[in-house]
Amino acid sequence: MSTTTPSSTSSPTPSEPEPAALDSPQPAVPDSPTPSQAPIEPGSQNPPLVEIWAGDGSPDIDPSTLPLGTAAWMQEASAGKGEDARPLVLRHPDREVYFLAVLDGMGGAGAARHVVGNQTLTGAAIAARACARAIEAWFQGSPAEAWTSVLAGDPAPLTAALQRTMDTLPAAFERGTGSLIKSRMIKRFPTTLAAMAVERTATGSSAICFSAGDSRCYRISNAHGLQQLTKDDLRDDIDPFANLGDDGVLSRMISASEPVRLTASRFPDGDGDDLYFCATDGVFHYWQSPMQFAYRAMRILIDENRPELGGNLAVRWAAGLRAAVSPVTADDHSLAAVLLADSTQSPATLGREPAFVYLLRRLHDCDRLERRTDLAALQRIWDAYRTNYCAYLATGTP
Amino acid sequence: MGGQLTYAVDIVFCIDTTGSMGELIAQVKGHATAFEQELKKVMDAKGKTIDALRVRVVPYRDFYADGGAGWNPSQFFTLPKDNDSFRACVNSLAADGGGDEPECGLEALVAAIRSDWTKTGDKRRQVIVLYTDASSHPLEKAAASKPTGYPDDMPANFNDLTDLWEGQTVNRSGKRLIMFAPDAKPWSDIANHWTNVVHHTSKAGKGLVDVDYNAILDVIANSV
Repeated sequence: MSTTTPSSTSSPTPSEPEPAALDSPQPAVPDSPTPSQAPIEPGSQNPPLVEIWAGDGSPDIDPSTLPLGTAAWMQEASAGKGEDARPLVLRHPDREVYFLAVLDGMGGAGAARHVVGNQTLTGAAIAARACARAIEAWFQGSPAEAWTSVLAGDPAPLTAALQRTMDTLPAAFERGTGSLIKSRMIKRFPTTLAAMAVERTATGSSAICFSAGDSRCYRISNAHGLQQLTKDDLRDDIDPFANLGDDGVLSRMISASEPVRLTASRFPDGDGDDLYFCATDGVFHYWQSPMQFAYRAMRILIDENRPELGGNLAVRWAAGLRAAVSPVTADDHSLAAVLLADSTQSPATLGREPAFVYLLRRLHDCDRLERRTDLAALQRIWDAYRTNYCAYLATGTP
Repeated sequence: MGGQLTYAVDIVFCIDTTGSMGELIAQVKGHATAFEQELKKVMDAKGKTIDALRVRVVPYRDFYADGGAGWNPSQFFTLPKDNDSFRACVNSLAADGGGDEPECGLEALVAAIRSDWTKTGDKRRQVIVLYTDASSHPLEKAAASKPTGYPDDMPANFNDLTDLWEGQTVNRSGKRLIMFAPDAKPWSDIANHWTNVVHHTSKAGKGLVDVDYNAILDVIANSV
């Protein structure tokens, strides 16, 4: 795999010109939705928005309902009080192209509570779920526009779909409370988004990421192990290791308080035997360092990539990582993944190449270190490792 | 695999104890002493734990009317170990003096910002909670002549104070300023221009309804 840096762009604010779409082959896709796939109608009483709450009450995701080679989970830190949306895993009807998305309602900024059916939910939870539902409905209702634009790296149509949703939420859920609170920290219906369109290409694989906030897209490859593809939208420029302690303040998220803006970035140079995933911060933000998270994600891949285990490697990897994340995190966590390989059944070559094994051995040295006692040692390892981990963040997103 | 990251939270209460607070001071004292328990309750509900919690009190009046009377910033109390001492400190506060508004709330804010913040914990949160029913003298006023008891080394003006808040003295990401204060200068300017501020526009939290209080606690709890 080359080390080409990604090209990136942002969706427009009303005062900005439309960005040029990243050039990409235009895939042929089906065009007409079935009646049951109607998109959300802005300005309606939003029955689709209400419908999704029932499904979100039982977050466990049955792997058999997902496309082969994909996996997803969502787990709430406190049952019934989660603010992540159920992750999205969509497959193109005719091609080996996938769309993954996770959304994390921003509870600090969107703590206002609203009545939804017989429940009371925060604006953050509503935002994440409504946006997830809107994206799914967009792919169902306008599949040609959806698949074509995401594969072209054009954030404008996805941005517009999310903006329409944000435009409907205040009227649908806000009731006058006469709050006396004034704060720039508080947003109406705030959520993050990390999404990626992943496709197998003639030479390997490519991904196009769309993001706002601090949920992330990642890739695991034989040549480079785990790499973070998207840069967090933080007010200050804090690297991923420092940010585990600093918890940088977000400079951007999706909300009804400001125009929706997404960052789009293309990563064209996958090996072809790669694991791509999107994750909310509950998955990666509670480890002692990015190296520990990388080590677990890669180690589990090797451990699970054994022919005798059978089944779907992506599902086994996700289950293993979920089991590792759960005791570490203090937050809701959700993940959507796709394994591109010659076969989604073992044996895939991912994790079996010497470069991957070498990298894993280097990371093993820091697996038991802790920030409170070994910060200097962790910093030294991070200084050596971050060039690889952050290769795609060097030029960053705008 | 390393263990869970640890959380250390410092809370500083700046409390206006001038005479006009007479009818509110009992409510504020109850509010301050219950705050950490209320915050813990919200965090427990979210499955989050504070590993180390300290609180400090900065009572203030009006140096221009009272000299240094009532100015007695406390050290940090470690909770729950020092809970009795913390409660005794808060309960000893009495509303008195101050003359007409404005008071010296900005000087209290400076003292709070310059607290000896914790250096423990993997993740640190620094929360200042201010209660007042009045506006504040501008810091520039002390340039002409410092009143008796006026603290040394105060910022010369509001811009310098803003730099203090936005600089390295407080954790840039982990800081929060919660103001229960009227919609008046300088509090409205702070709410409009400083980062990480929540302003409940009221006289020291008077009329604070549960929905707003919960929203404020959520803003803090969700950042931990």
